[in-house]
Amino acid sequence: MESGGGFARQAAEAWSLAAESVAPDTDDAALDRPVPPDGASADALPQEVADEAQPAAEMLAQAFHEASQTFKTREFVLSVPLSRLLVRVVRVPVDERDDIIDTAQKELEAVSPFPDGSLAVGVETVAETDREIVAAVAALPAEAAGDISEALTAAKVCVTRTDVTAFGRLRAFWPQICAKEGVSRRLVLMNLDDGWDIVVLDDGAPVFLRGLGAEAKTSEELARDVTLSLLQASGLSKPIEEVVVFSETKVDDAVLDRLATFGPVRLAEMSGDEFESAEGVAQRTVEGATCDVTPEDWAVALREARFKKKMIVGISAAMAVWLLVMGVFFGVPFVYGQLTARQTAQSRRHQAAYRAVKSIETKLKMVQGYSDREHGALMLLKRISDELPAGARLREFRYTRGDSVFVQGDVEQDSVVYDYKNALFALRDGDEDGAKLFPGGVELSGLRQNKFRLDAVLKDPEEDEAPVRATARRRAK
Amino acid sequence: MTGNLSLRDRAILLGVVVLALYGLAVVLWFMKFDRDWSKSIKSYESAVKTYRREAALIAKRDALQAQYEEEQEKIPVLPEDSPSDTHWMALLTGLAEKHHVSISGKKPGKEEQEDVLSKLEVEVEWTASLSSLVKFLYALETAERAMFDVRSIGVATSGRNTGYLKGKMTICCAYLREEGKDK
Repeated sequence: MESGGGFARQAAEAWSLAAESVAPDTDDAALDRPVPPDGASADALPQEVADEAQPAAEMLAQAFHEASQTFKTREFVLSVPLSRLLVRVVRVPVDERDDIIDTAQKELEAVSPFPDGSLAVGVETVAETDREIVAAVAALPAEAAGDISEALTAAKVCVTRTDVTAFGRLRAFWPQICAKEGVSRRLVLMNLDDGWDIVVLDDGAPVFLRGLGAEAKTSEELARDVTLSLLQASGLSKPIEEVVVFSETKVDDAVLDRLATFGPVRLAEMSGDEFESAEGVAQRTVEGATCDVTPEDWAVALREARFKKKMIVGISAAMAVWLLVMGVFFGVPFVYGQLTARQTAQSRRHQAAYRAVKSIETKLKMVQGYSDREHGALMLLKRISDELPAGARLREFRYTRGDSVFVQGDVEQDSVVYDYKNALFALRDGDEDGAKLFPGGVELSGLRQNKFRLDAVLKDPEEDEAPVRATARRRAK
Repeated sequence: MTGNLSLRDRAILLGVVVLALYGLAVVLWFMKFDRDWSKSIKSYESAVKTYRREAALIAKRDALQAQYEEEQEKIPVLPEDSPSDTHWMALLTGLAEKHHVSISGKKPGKEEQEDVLSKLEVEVEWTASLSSLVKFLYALETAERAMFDVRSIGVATSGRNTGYLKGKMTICCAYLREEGKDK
């Protein structure tokens, strides 16, 4: 609940808007939002509510359930009749604006018939002058809302805001109430589904509200209640300039005659729309009216329900992510397994043809192994001799096909050995035809006292078998 | 311990525990699945590579067949039961004498079969001048009705400044027996 001056100013603005009858500014779409049944009235309840055989809580739960199904929501704005509420109009100095809630709390606790129960107080500033703030304060004792609590629990719905039904009605009927201008004190009597409500308006601001309950009233009983209400409001000193009567049933002439003793009576016409007061509550909700008498346990239930919903969404999202992760973890190897199996099956289909061609290739390589002159002993001896630098003498030459070449000799200058090696490197990398004389590499393995020794590997490193270093083999021997 | 906690606190605690388990599970599982992934991906890549290599080889069938037949024509053919060592030793000796290569020792091995191809390796100890050796080697490579291949050779100077070389070489004589020629 909002507190302090901010809330009071906001409420005051809301009431002034209402007083100016600015209904056309109302968000029509908002009015189409789910409007809960009046908590204590039968506005939106099915006809069966009238059946007294069924417990009220059960009927209410059924109504909540049906409304929940209809409007696809589990969260409602509820309004409660004055007969269930503790309502007072308090006046506090402007400089005590921040203490208005404490004042309201004390005021209502003083009149509460349930001294042990905690009250969730709703406050709404209805008028403000330079000196004081007039605020309507209300509270719904938990003991007076037991049946609603049961119904809410049974229907598994929650209340986001609890308004005062009479405020909704005033909001809805405001154009009719203010139809006559220049009236200072106005008495408004509303005989709707939950009995008579009495509201005293001074300069458009409620200064007294009272619900008389659903019991039928005789003209005298009503007059007595009105008199008591006026006494509580601010005494009888201020004359009633207009009595506005709203009633969904025909008002007896005797009642109207008796009310006329307080002031000129005006019987206001009603539209016949049974949801009119609920629409007033809806308008107030859209306009940001501050009065909210939602008991603490309902608010807790709402927070828990919302948290549960978020938790379920969170858990569902986590499960989805988990499933996705597991899907990826298990799916990738599975998909690759399938692809591999398909590829293997394709290979298997052409195995016969492959083996036949492989056999030809093997035979060809075998024959070529004996007829290859490019890498034969004579060609190697020739190329090594051709590259032999000036001043060098070849002392030993050893060759094994497909394995290694070993060269040893004398030089006049050490440096020429490296030139020789470089020349052999060039042969290693292949000539213009791409043929590599030393596929594996050339290695200078020893150099001392003008003697050199060169090893070259003839095995192609791209072949499956790793190159065998001739030097290593010789050393092993 | 959790009895005093509100629903919200319990849910948050549960969420934290679940998240921690999540993380642990993901780490542990990822380590395992990482290996499985790598293994399965490598298996697939290997299968694709194998298939492509095989398909490429199959595509070269005609070219390989033609090449093989061409090479096969060069291989000498001996009668099925005739001794090969005497045949090839005589031929080698003749070539050595012709090119002034002195053969001090000859040691034929056993005839071996490699698929359809027969081969006989002969170890030869020789002495010759460089030019004679080169001519002899060339003669071996270009000999008609024979397929000689020097599998290994060792060449070293023979004493100081004699101008002669000596060493050993292993000559392989490849041929077909009549029965295996057309296989």
